[in-house]
Amino acid sequence: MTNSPTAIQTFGLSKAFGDVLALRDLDLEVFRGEVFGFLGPNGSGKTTTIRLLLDFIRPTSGRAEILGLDTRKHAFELRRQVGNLPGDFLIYPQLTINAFFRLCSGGRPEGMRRARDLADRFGLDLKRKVGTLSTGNRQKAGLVQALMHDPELVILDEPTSGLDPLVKEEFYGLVDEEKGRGKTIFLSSHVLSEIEQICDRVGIVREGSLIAVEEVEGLKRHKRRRMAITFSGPAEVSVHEWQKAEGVEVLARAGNRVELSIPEGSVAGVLNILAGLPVEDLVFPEASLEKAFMSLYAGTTEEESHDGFPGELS
Amino acid sequence: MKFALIAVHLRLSMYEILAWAGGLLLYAAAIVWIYPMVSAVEGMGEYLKAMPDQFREMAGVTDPSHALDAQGFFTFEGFLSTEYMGWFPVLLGIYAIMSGAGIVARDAERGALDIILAQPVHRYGLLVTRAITQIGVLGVLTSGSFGTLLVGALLLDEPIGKLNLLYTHAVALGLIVSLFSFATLWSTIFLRTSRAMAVAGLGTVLLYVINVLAPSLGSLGWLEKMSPFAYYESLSLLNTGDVDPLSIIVYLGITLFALGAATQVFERRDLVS
Repeated sequence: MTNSPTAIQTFGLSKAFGDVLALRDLDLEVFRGEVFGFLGPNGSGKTTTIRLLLDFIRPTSGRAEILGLDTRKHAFELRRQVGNLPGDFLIYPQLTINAFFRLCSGGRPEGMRRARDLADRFGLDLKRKVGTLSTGNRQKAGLVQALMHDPELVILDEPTSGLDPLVKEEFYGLVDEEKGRGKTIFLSSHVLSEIEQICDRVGIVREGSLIAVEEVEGLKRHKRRRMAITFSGPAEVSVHEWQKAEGVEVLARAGNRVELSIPEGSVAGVLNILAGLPVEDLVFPEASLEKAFMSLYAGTTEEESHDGFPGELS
Repeated sequence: MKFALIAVHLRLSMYEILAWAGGLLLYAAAIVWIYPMVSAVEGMGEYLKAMPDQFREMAGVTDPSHALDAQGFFTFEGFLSTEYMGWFPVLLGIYAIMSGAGIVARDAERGALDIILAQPVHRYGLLVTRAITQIGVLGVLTSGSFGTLLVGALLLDEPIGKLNLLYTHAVALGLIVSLFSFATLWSTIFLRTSRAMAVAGLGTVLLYVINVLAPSLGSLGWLEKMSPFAYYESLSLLNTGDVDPLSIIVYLGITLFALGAATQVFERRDLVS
């Protein structure tokens, strides 16, 4: 294994299925030790990227490196260092969970030991047959097999789909622990709150193209925030006056209430205007990743993307 | 990893292996059991001689006099060839094609390949391990058939050349393995069990029909040699034990070519079914 500081690096990676270009010139860098979220709706190219990284499918052009090694030339060596949880995986229903882990352990006792520990943590009964498991429990078994080799890089495709909230929390804790141990986690998801909670950086993919790579906090900073101010008495502040604070827009005015849209860095200007005014209430919620994502993704304004964020992309 | 793959393959195939083993052994035992009754029936020789050439070809009897004794009754070898050994590679061939067609396609369809190939195993390692395991299973089933017929012959006190019977099974196994390899190639091409089974099955039926019909097609008789079934003469093998080296070359050639091509296809293709 090399000492490359990057866990994943792609160079103009593209993949076409017939006439359909599923991934277009992907240049991506994921650093060792970070939790990287790969965000996009279904069909945007997330799974294609993962399958290219794991050498399940071959690029039409470009190439990829994992831990400094070419994913095609060193596929076998990399499998010792990479854990993988495919989306929607099914494995032999006749096998017990224990037999399934044994199949994946490659005969290494330390792998089985870790699998048993993780299974215990997730409350998995090793004697149960895979075919009798609920979707959530099957997903847990998949997570255990992805982590049982103690890999340097863990690639997870929609890892929490089907998991109940308590197990999700357990999973998030596990991701934190792995990160603490210097491991790299690359996870695809369309659950924005999940990315927000556990990822350091996020890559946003749309129709096969990477449109942004940002730190989660940085991405939020890109977002304009809303401020709702209620005055206790008459406060005649004209639109022109509000706009003295750079970039501020007035979204609504009704009676003693005004709603503003404020870009990053203009809060001080607004507070200057508010000084001396009879402010009764002020609501200024933190920027959510959802809004930032939708702005970036759809190229919409805050007004257009204001209502009805479901928290998941379809 | 390889031992785990073998163990899992055998475990998952256990019931179908047992079913085919049970069926074949019952069939072999039944044939041995009814031989004393059938061999004593007068006119069976005439019946055999009256068959169209193509029917006799299907049963591996090219010359009926080789299947009959001086009195015109079935010899044990003749009866075995007509009623069992002529069909044995066809019957076990069906299982070979079914198992070959699913050898990697079944895993691709259920999404298990993404788990297995994320482990430290080469694609060719997975394919070759599975194929060798399954060829081993076919070998065990063939050995079971050999053992059943041998014990049956001893119980009936029918003298039969043990080596002749062994060679007949060995050549039959060569044919069966080549059919399995043919289906395995289609499994890697399509990564869909039903499609691979359909193409391999249809191809095999076509080759079988060519073998049966070609001798009566006059100038197109040479087509017979295009069929792997033409290199398996059960009656001749049971009577003489002379193994035609060409049959070994043909079956080994088909097997090596098909498995080699399957490995190359599986190594290079996208794992998308």
